[in-house]
Amino acid sequence: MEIFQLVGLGLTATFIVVVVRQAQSKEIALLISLVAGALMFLLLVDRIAAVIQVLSDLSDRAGINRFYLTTVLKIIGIAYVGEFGAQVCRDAGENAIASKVELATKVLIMVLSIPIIVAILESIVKLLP
Amino acid sequence: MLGVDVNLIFRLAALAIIITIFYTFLKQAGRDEYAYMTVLAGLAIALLWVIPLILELFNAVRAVFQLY
Repeated sequence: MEIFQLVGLGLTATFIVVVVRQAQSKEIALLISLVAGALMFLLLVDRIAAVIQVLSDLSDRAGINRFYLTTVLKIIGIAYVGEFGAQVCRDAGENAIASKVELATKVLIMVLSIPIIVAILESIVKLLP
Repeated sequence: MLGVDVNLIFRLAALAIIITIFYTFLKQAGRDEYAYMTVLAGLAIALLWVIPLILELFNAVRAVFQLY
């Protein structure tokens, strides 16, 4: 079972971070938590890729334009990376930088979603007489 | 099985403990500037280990979510 490995990784990393923080080297404690987060995502990458494969197969079968699915996937990726960076910043006590990172994430997501909004508006205009 | 290098966490922990020992030792000996240099060098080494992993993470995210 993979869940035990993941939870074990998390618990071990937490234990080590607590010990290292006791030893007065907070920078390396931060790096250790960063490494733990990255390793957890790298362990989950295969499963996420499988889920995304199934989703894209379904959307192909339903005849949905591929553009929409890739946009949604890009938004999920941007949100994940932004959240990761913001949480690391917040862990280090830098709330201001974390807020800026989140703002950047939101702006980029907005930019990505503009074509979909335009498409929705165009279809509404087409429906109107 | 864990397909990634979990040893990095333990290596970082060992590095932190060694750096802390050096730091206290040098500080006790009255060499404050060397103590600070030791901490800085340890941080540089830790960053050199961590940055490739972060790069790998970003590449994985980019590949999975089709971000180009």
